[in-house]
Amino acid sequence: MQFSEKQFSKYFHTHYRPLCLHALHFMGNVEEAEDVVQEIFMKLWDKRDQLETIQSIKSYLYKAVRNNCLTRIRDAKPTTPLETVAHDQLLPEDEQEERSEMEARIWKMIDELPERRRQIFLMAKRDGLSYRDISEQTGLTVKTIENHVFRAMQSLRTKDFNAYLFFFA
Amino acid sequence: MQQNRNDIDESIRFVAQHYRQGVFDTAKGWKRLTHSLQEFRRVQYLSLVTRVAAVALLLIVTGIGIWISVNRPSQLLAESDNTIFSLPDHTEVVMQEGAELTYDRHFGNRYRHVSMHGNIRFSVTHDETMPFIVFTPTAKITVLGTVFNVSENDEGTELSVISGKVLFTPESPAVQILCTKGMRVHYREKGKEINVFSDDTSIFYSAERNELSINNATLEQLLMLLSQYYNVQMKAPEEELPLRLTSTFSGKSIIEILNIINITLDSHIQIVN
Repeated sequence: MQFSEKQFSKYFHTHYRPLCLHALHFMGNVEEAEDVVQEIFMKLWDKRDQLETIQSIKSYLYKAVRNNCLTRIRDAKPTTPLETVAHDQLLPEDEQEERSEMEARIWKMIDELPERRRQIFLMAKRDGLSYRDISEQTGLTVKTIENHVFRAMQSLRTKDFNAYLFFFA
Repeated sequence: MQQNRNDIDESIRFVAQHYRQGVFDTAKGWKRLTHSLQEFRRVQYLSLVTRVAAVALLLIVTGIGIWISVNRPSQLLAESDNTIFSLPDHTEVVMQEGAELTYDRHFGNRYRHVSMHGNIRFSVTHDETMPFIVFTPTAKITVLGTVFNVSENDEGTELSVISGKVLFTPESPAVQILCTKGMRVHYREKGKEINVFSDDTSIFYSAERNELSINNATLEQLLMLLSQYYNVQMKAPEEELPLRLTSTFSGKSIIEILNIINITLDSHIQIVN
């Protein structure tokens, strides 16, 4: 088995964002997470002649990302025991994959929120601002801010919650 | 279910905390990756080259097709004996059944070249500025304006001059034989044999066997042919030119042949540098 350009492209486009989010759980930094995933796909391309030894490309990618992250963390902080770092990743591997895929969908849904709603949602959930602070910064009423955040959460939960329940509940 | 909801809320919080527009963009990531992978870039480059080459090939093929259709030569084919055609320069050809004659769109403008197969009689319109040249697979026949007959088949080419002068050049040896009214030349590709006939004379030459057979030829005719065959200039006193000779030379050099002729006819042929 050998990757064609088309197959390689398909794997990349299917798993790139979930793998980035998988790496983000280890690295805590989007730039470094992307660097890890880029490196993993470069290695995958280099190994395309030996793919018959790999049972599942998807599992291989997730494991490779995990190992790469742990190596980077160890190299950056040699005194940090890897067990401590990995402690945060206690979920079984298949659940880690599912979580990353779900988070990739959430990321995409945030991309697709109306701009005003996305801005208010991020001020609340990312920047940790109170509704009153957001109200002062945007000139909207607190009630409107509450409404925007509620609707954003509802749409993120609803869309993904239904899919999640369908597959795993 | 509550646990699931908590998991989703936890994921939403996690994503929201790190979310930045344009980050983890798959299209940007793909661009970055393919830029880093030299080999992959080459594959893409080759793919691009292949596509460009395909378009170029299509254009070339289309261009050639158009060029061929514009430059398609005219072809005359005789379905019965004595079929008469008139060429653009008003040269008249009488073709026997199965004969073919081809000329391109420049005939009569830049040159007067035709190629042929079969048996064709030509009555060539006189034009000193533009020789009329007949190509057969085994010979080239050049005329200015005359009537002659050419017969071409798988064995070779035969020329019969009815009026005027015709220059006959076999493919090999490429000697030029000036044929006048009543003369006939037959060239056989096999053996590279040339047979020249006139009313009471015949000369046979086989390049492969290096054999020359002369029957009642004048010294003038002989010198013309020998100078062509052996690519040397020869001369003899003018009064000796009408002398006639019948002989066969096989495997002889030109020096030996000239010595034999001089002894036989008591002539004084000399090679001129």
